[in-house]
Amino acid sequence: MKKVHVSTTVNGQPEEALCEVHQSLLDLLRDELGLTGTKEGCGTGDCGACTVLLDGRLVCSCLVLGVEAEGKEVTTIEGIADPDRLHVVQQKFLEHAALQCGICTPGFIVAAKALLDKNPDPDETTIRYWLAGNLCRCTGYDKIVRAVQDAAQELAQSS
Amino acid sequence: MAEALDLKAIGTRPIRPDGVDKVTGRANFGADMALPGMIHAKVLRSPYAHARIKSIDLSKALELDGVFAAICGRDLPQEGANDLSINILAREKALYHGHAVAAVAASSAALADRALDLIEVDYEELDPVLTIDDAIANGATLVNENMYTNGDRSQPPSNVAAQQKFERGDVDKGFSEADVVVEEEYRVPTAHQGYIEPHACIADINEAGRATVWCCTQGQFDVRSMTAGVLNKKVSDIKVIPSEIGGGFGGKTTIYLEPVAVKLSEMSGRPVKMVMNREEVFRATGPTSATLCRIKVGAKRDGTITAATAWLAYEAGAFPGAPVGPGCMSVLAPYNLENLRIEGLDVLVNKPKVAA
Repeated sequence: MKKVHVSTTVNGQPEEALCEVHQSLLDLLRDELGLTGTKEGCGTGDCGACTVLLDGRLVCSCLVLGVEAEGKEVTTIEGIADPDRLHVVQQKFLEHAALQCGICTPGFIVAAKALLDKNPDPDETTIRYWLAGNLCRCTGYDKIVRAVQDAAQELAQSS
Repeated sequence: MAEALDLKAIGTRPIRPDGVDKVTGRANFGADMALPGMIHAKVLRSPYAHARIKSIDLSKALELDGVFAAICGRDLPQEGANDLSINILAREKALYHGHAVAAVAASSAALADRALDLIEVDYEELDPVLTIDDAIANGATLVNENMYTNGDRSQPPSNVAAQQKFERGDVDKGFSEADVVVEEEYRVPTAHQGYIEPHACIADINEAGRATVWCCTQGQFDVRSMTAGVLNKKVSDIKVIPSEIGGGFGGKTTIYLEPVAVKLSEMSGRPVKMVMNREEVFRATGPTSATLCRIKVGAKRDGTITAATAWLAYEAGAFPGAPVGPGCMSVLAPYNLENLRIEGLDVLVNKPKVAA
């Protein structure tokens, strides 16, 4: 089967890739561009481990075709930190021990950052609603919610 | 108190050493590795919970462009083949819905999947044994025709692989002294741990027969000895390098893919990567046991327990080894009992072998 040429932007960098038509955006990122920070847990949009931003919108990259990334901007876990400094959400996940095995963590962090970019002062219900699409089997959700609350507080103080 | 003792660790909140790699996406899990020249393998799984495999024809799959190698149970060493080997690739029978029957290595995972459709398997469907009640009933269909309870061949074969008993005192006398006797039956269904990371590995074997396996596991030395056992190789010929592990909860202490990947690497001369999808994890990897327990407790009005019995039956899946022993040891352990009887059954059913 002939591959399709895809021009896209990932974490601010222009990228070119050849993609089979059945390949998901997740496959494109992991297999063609070597960005393995985005994980596959289920392949059916249930676990959220593959969460990325597509033109600023939170999506499960396993449910988006790779060819749909044409001309769009993708943000993955690899694009969250500055080269010299973690994003505050990442830092708070560390401080609150909001991760254990770490397989779900990239998806949670991308989703949490997307929330804080949109709503810098979310209440607990809003945080839980935004993270409802992400499953964690190790830590439970409490530490994750507290990490996001703390990140929001720190962002509010620094702005 | 803590200040007075000048403790170095207690009371501190250290940041986990693997944390930064995990919040940045840098950490490498089972499916994140890639090697130059790597090809991909997929597994054909039984659509029946119980079936005799009359024949397997791999030839059409091998003819497909881009397919490097294909194997089924007969390609693994047969002499001394243990349960692990038969679980990894079925031999005479498919023992559960999802039991691996064959595997194909191809230039891409999608192509390997297409090649699976070309494998011809002739099954004779058998009655599946799906519950403890069915498994222990008189005249039950046998999951394994050569299974004798506790290895006792003076009795007919059975789905009860093992039976154990613990007794103390006089249970009948104890119950006769009780003011109240309560007897209840408890059923707990199978539960899979549901770790978010599916099983994955890469195997690369060189011309001298030395293999390297990268995989997500809770025990790389166990993986090494188990893989060596299934392939009839020396443990010194296999090196296992564990990746980060995306949850295991007891389910990643065993092997499913590794010997298949090594064998396909040997046949193709390429590194072979295998990654399960979620459906495969649920159909073919080990959950915890479903159980059927009958508990009877007799007590005096002041709360003193005069006697207790526990009958515990645990589903092992298609191969023996349910954790019923620890169940027997703990079920009545919190109580100081003079009269007790505990019976534990390790029961075969047509489901994946339990692994937690």
